Amino acid sequence: MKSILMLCLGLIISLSACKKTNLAAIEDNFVVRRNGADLPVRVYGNGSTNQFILLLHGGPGGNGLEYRTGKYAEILESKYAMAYLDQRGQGMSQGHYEEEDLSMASLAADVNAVARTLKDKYGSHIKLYLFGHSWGGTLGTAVMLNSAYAQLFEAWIEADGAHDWPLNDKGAIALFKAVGESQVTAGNSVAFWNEIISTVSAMDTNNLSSDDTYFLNSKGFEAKQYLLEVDSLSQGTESFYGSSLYGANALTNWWSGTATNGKITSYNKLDTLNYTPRLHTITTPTLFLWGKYDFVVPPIVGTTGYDNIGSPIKKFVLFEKSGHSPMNNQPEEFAQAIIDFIEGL
Amino acid sequence: MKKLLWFLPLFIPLMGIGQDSLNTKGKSFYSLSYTGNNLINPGLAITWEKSIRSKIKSKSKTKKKTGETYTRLKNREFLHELEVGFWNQPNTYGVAFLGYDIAYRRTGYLRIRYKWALGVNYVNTILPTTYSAEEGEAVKKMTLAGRSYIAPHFVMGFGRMTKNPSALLRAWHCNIRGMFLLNYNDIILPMLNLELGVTLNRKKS
Repeated sequence: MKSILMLCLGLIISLSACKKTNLAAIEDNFVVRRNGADLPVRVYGNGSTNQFILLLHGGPGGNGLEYRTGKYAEILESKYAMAYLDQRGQGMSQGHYEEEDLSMASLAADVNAVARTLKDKYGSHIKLYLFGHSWGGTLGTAVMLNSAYAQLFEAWIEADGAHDWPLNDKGAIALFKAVGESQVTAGNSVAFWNEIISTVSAMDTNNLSSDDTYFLNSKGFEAKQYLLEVDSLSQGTESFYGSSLYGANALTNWWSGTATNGKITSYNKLDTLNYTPRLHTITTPTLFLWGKYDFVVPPIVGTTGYDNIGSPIKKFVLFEKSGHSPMNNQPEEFAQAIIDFIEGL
Repeated sequence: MKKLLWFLPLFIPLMGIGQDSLNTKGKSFYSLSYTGNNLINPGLAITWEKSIRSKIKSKSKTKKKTGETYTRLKNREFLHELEVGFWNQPNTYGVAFLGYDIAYRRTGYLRIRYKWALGVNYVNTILPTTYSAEEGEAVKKMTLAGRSYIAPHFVMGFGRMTKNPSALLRAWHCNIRGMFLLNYNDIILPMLNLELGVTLNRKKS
């Protein structure tokens, strides 16, 4: 009885997935299995030019499809095929494995497996670009540091990526002071900014506690609201998480992502993870995209990355009216920066 | 206001139920339910239930207007339940499950039923097109890939027997099923299913 039911269900699901691929308008949904994990990959967009962007979501604990919202995704999908991956333990990925399989090396190997699968599925001639945002920037850098993995990609695009965690907090303190002082001078939300300035000035940048980090993160999101009010940030498309409900089961996504966030953070000691000294070994063309008012991963992380990376082809773009997610604040400019970089290679 | 209308049937006064139809000891019934995994992912479940212990209490009542006497019954019972079903999560994966539980059900004078159950499910996910991409091996397409999980569960619900429980349609129910998928990734994953369905008599009498 059970096997018949399983067979029928499998048949229905397989048949529904067997759509003839139209490369100009790809809508694909498949899973990559590696080392105990089943990683969902959804590919949308225009694959007729054989250019695919593999997107690494933020978090840890996010999911791929939450990035398929707003104008920037629409623009990029009209030019390229976008592959949205749910990383191990996050989104709707599932499987059976141990905590050590959440190491940076294992997560990077997952990305490599997905890249190999994309080349196997769509042809070895396709051009792959790796694009990571926030935590996706940490993971993407780990991928690029492995030369065998990096050779599968034509370029590395890092948007507000945390490749140097100790620098995040130090940079955030400096940014809070600079932005705070300018806002106080302009007479904007003076009480809020004065409180921030006095608190961050009292922090010991060489010995930041977890409370300090929590304060910086939470105030970063509050600061964003105040900056939006005075038009320092562009409103853009705020529905960043709009498609989560359609793309992923909200409860599964939240529970799994939250648990995995803690495990990845503690297992990999993310608060001390610093790839800056090794960036010179990366020779893949690299594009750094940063929001000027990113208090979570401040622009100094991006500029330091730009200065240290070994790529002969590299570019840094600062979005003047953006925070941690420039793809939302300035979607058209963000998408155009990626297109210009890819087309210029 | 519309939401309140759903609960109206609970308050409709009812006539007595025959003791035979309430006494379920040794009898088995089937239920058919819509299963909304995490409330929204649609699915279907078939449940077989068999009463293993049933205790009926009766109460004589007199109608004020006519002076006519009638009997009201209530039932406390323990049941075996076996369920099989599936649900589908758009863009992700399908799930087939098979479960067993032991349930306690109370049917009150007004035919309203409350149920509590504890049991275990065998859950099997059914993935869309899947590729194996292990290191050092070529990428391979897999057929009927999926993962299996053991999932202890609890059920809480309410429902109501129909006016004629011996008819084909015996009762309706609304349950919440909480499942805990063990060893999902490397955590325990909770899932909350909403079940709306009907209990059917095998033979219409």
